[in-house]
Amino acid sequence: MRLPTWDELRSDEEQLDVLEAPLHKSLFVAGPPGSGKTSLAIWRADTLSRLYGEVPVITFNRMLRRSLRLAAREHNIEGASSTMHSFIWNHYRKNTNENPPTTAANEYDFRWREMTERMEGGKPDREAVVVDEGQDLDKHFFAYASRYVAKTLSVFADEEQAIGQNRSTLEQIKAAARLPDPIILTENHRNTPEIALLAEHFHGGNLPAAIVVRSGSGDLPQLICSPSMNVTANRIATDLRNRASSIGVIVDRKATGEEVCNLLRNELPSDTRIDLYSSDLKNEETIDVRKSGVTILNKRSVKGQEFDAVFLLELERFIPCSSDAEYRAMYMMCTRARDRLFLVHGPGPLPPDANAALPSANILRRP
Amino acid sequence: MPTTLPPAIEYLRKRMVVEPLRFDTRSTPNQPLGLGPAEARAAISWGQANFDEPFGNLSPRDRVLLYAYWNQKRHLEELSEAFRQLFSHGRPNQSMIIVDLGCGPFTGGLALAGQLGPEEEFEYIGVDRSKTMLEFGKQLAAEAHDNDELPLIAHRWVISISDIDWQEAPSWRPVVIIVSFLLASQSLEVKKLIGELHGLLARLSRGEATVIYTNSVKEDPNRNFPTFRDALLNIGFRLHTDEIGGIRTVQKDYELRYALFHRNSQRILRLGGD
Repeated sequence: MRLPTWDELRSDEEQLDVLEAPLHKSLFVAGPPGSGKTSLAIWRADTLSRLYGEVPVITFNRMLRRSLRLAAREHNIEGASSTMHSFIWNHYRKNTNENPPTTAANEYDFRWREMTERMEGGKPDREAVVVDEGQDLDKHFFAYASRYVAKTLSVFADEEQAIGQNRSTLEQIKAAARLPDPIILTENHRNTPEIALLAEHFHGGNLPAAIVVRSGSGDLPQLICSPSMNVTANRIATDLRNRASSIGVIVDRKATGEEVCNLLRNELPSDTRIDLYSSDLKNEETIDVRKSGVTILNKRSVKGQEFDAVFLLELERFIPCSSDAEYRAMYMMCTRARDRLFLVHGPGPLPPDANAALPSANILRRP
Repeated sequence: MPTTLPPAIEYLRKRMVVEPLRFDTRSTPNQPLGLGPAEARAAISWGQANFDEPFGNLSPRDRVLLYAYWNQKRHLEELSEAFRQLFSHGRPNQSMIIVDLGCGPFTGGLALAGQLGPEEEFEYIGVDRSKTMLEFGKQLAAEAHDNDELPLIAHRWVISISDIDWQEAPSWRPVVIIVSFLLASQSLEVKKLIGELHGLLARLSRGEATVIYTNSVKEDPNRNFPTFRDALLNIGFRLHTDEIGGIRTVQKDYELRYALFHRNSQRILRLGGD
């Protein structure tokens, strides 16, 4: 008897490595949190740019654009990156000498149909662009990009983390951007198994849970009932003093973010990095979330970021989840934490329906 | 080196198969249940009998014990050798799901448990049309569970693939399907079997899948192999090995027909609409 060994079978496993995907074709990659989509997007853009000149990475918001730039710098890559909005604004302006039409309600909402009609007959003016966090972009963007922006699109997405109303499903992205079926990334390299298990509690969708590569830390995520914002700030400050790590604080309301920011600034030495990000401050270029210190963000701006520890404040405003979008948001927010995760509510106990929406004590440690 | 069973498996067989037969009042020193090899063979008809029916004055349980005594050891040796070779270089990094089609009394599960050692847990699904076989398989699995030298095995037992009640969401865990001497069965509908297996795999995992096929070297028991092979190729498996080869045991050398099929992880998400 002579059978192949497991290693021999494994080496036969298709080399679907995204890095080896053909450069002259569009590429579609779906991956769970921590699967390295953003790094792969940067590498893809870098490889393509050696062939075609500048290949920008287009993403959802300014914090993500900042992360792309920092990550590119870390890898010594001269990458161009852009938010979808500014990229399309410039592209349309360059091609039509007009500002793109937007809805009366929101200057960030393009009127895609009008834009497409105006661009009718146009051809892509680039060989390639790369899109990260594609699930949060409007499907009309993909149709526009594949017709008028670039001959090939490399799109990285996870529809199970999409937060907004304008999100696109993988099916919609595929159809609109004329992409091949997506390659699935299978491994989560970011979260501890304890954090991944809590996040799975909020995970929906059709794809299997990611394979968690890290070994257990023994630290269960914790539910904290805080009697006041002072106590919450004190708890965050203590974590920073003890561990000197990067801490993300996620809030729902801007006022809460400002309050916790002021309390932390009073409590911690003046040279401590404490950043409050908001899209109207447009202060992302001054923030490096990876450095030791505290970054305060909201649900929208925390997308795609990662921290050693995450404090999710105002928990009662996020659960119980009443829609798929709210489940996806909880899933996305929990998976921002590498090592430690704290779900904070209070003052007062969690409402019974919110409490019932949380997993049991063997997954989430209770006070 | 001849193929031998690990001591833990030999011990389990002694306690659960050999001694109950030896201490049965019908048995004589060389004839379990008072039956010579030819009579025993008639009672188990090379494993193809309906083991849920009595046979003369033998109960269904007697017949299963006789099968375990006379036939199972050889199949354990064959599958032990197959798993020894398969896992001689590399192990899966997640716990495996084993689907043993025509499992008899836990044969594939015992063979794998003996080769993996106590650290590697796996999940076992035994499928056999005989409830008496399944019942004895369950007892062997419970006994194996208490043995420190064998891995922890979550096990479930069903009479057909369609009875597998799998509630977990599909994962990336590797699945190993054992098809040992099943195709010798006269009543087996091979295409239907592979159709059901395909549906089951979709429910269990998107991870890689491996099919291990063993059989007699004779032509008739393998008559459905081409249909079996083509149906597996049709659902994305690749045939790695299809051979007749020798097995050397302490008692004797003999030949075996064996094949190995493998399918990669389903890492392309088919969205349709092309």
